[in-house]
Amino acid sequence: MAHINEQQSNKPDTEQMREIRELVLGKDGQHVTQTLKDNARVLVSEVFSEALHDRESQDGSVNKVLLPLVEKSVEKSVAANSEKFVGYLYPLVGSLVRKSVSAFITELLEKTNTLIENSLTIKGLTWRFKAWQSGVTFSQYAASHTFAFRVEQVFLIHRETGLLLNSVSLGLELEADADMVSSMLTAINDFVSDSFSTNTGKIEQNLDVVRTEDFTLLLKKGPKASVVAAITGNMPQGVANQLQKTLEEIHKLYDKELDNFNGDSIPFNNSEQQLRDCLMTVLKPESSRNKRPWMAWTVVLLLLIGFSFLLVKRWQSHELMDQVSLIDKASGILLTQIDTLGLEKIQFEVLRDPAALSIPEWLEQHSIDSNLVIYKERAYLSLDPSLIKHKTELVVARFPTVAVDWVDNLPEFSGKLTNLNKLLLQGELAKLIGLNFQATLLDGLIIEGTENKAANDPELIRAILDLNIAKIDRVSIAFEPGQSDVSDQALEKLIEIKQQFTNLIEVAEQQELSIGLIIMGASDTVGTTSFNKILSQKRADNVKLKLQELGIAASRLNAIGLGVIELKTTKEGARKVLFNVVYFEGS
Amino acid sequence: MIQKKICLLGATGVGKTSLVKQYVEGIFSEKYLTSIGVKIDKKQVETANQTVQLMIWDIEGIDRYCGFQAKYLRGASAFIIVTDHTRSQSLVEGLDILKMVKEVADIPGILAVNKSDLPASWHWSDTELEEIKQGFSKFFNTSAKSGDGVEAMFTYIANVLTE
Repeated sequence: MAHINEQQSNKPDTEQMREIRELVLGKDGQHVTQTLKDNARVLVSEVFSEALHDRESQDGSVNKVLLPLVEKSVEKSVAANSEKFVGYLYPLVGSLVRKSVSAFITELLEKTNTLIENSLTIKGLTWRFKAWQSGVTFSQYAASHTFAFRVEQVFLIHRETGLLLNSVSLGLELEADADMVSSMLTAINDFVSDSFSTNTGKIEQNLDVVRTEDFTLLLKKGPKASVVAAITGNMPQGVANQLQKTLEEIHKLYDKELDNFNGDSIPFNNSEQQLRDCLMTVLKPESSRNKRPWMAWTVVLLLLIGFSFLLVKRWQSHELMDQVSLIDKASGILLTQIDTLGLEKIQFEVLRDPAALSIPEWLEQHSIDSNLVIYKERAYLSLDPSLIKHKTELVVARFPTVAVDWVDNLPEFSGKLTNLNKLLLQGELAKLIGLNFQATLLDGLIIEGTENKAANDPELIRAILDLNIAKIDRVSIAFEPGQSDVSDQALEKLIEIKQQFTNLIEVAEQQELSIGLIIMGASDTVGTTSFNKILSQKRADNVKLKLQELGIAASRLNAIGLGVIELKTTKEGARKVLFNVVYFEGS
Repeated sequence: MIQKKICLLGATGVGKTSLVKQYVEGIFSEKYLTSIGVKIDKKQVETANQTVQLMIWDIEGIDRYCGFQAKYLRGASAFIIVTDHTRSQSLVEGLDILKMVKEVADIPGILAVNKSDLPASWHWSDTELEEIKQGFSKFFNTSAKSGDGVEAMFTYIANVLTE
């Protein structure tokens, strides 16, 4: 030992100290650092969050350091595992989209419902009235009745000075001047605590809850700060617990700041998150039961019903249109235009041969309600073989002794007939356009009675001529009062007249007779004489023009205006054009 | 923005409430003064460096028969004692208040001699007054009627508190 001491005394003091240090602390403080290292996890974890918070509030450097690190690692992770991330995000994105869409629809329904409920229902109107009566806005009143409770605003107040450190609110109109309110609350609390101190006087009295009819102020006091919540509705215990929790959290996180508070509230800006946790809202159970927005659903349902009704109607009218379109296939009817009219009606235009089935008949045959269709028809001559057959058969039917057979659309006549009747039949058949009638077609007929060939007997021919002339003379064209336009019906008659007259010309020329048609216009007694004269002339002229258009030479036509026909019996019937066929010997 | 709490004290009828009435943005009715003994107003004052929001606690008139709410002074950064130079008694009471305040708080006090629009009719000699002013950080002649000295006083306080 003495030996050692001797050795040590030889060394300088500093050297000895170094050795002792090395013995106690280990080489380069190894023992200490090792102990620290061993317990590092426990030690750091104890103060980790607080230290981060303190450093962040001191100079904001934690955020600055962490941000690029986090960004980089996220970037790396995404780049390396992009497939995985797509896998993670895919269901998320899908459900996000679904959620946001359904949220949008729900919100829309809710809004519509609220709007309808609030504006149209008795409850809504009563609320409006009551809100007006109590001088608050409707939305405020509605909120107070819709929510079981709602924390409207939360204040964080410095205990000592009563100054406001931070405040959050739901952003409603009732947001009070937070600075003033927090000071005033502190004053009131001071007042209460002084005025109602207990006998012992040791324990300070504090306001806990201030309650009005529909407002509650809940105060939670801590040693350095208070949290105050302004609540509408019936406050449950849960809010008080949350306030207490928030208050404790704030004391823990902002301990130093609260101690050193000098009137500057900036260090407390970050406490907003903690305060927001206190903004709790719970809907009234009644309204949650009512949550099914049945009003909106009713509207939606009504809309749907209306829409489907329209759809069905539209479908029905299209079905009907398809059905009506088949009219085009009927002989002698040409469909020129067809369209729907309004909800269920159909309107169409056709060209119809007068010999064809009439439209109402066709509709009846196809069991179509004639009330559902509106149509316009114009006359035309159809060359449809079946219609020509029909026309021919109609003519033949007038001669009971004659029968007709059809071979390749060509008629073969058989039976017995007098000469006169054969001529008459020949005349009728020749008039049929589209039949291409030739006299040889009648060769199969047996002539009975006289041996004379009718074709050669001038008297007989004259008689037939007179017969046919009388037919034309019997025709008259009617006009609307004061009108001179030729109607569609009149046009049909004119087509008939043209046919007959053309036939007459043929026969007359055979007999060397000159033939002409006098067209006489007439009017009723309404109006002045001069007007009626002009009107009657105009009617005659129009008819003449039509006949010319149909192909009769103008030289054979003579239009005369008769003016008023002075006969007592003629009133309705006087608005007419009459015909008179005249012929002279020698052409 | 820095906030500071300051208290306005003084005997009854010296015009404390009138002094700040035109100067501040108030939302509370004066009836609070009689019901709980304090009315709070705020005023933002621009100093050379920053904006200071003064929370002005107007504390009900104090006289010798009733004590004052020491609690209202808690956390205050400064106080103003208002006197009325047409009533000698108001300064006596003001000095009593000063003593009471000094017992509970060590903060700057300002003396405001109000109603400067009226002729002074109190019986204090200049030397006496000078002596009294020594107890305060600063002294201002103010008029609630004309507004003279009011803004200067609050601006001074704002500057002192943010130095």
